[in-house]
Amino acid sequence: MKIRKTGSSESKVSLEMTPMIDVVFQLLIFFMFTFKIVTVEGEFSITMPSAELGSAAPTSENTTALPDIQVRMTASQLGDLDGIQVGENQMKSLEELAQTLKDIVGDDPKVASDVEMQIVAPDNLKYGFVVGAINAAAKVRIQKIKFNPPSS
Amino acid sequence: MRLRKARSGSEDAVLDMTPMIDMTFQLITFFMFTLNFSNDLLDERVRLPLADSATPTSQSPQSPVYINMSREGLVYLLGGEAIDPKADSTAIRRHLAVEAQMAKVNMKVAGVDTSTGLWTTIIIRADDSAPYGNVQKVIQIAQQTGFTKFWLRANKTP
Repeated sequence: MKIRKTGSSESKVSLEMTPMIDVVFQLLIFFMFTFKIVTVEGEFSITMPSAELGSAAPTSENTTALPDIQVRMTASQLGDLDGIQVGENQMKSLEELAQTLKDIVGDDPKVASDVEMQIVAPDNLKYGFVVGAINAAAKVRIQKIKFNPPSS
Repeated sequence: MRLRKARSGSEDAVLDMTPMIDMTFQLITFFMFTLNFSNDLLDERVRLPLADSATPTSQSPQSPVYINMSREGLVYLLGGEAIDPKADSTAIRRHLAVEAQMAKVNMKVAGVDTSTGLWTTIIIRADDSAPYGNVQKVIQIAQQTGFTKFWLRANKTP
């Protein structure tokens, strides 16, 4: 077996670039087409008692001095927000609801975290308005939010 | 000013490939790192409701289950069939029951107590115009299957 002389420098080793560039472009095009701009979505975290068969029925265990807030929403035929009622207060918009909740809860975050809010809304109301009500509650740091069970 | 003779043929024009390859590798690296497969479960047809206090939480949820709901109130499960939860809830119930079973097994393996509820987070991505009754129904089904943690997705900005 012959051993080649090293370092003869007579013939240069030339690297064939073409296949590599081909592959690299393939990869580039693949990654470019799968590129998607991610919009960060916000969320409201809600914990609800399990209603599994066999487990105890959910009871309102907190009987603190503050009564629960019940937000009653009504909808028009098309599912748009018609009115909101909190106790005796009648409101037309979600901004007013935010103000009312602020008046009820005040500035104390301790109170707000104890208050339980229930949303009662008709089936045909657009979901966005319910999220708007949750949003208004989140602004005054109400964390316990309940939904009424569906009508059917 | 002298003009060079074209096509003299005596010397070949050599294209220097190195900067181009450098740039291309840069681009590939960028696109590779921004590639995100976790968004496959998000349905782009859903237009989320707007809520300015909906904050994205930094921690990722424990084995999340996504439920996308269209503006008509239909739920799209894997496989693409549209289901009205009010009309026929069996498919959703079955889907969630499988997820619940899997979560129970995983929790048992991890040594987590299952009596206080499953660790799975149900992420509800319902359209702004979806009827509220359908969202309620889906939440109720999930509750009956044993899930307690819910995330309602909303957009902070339009």
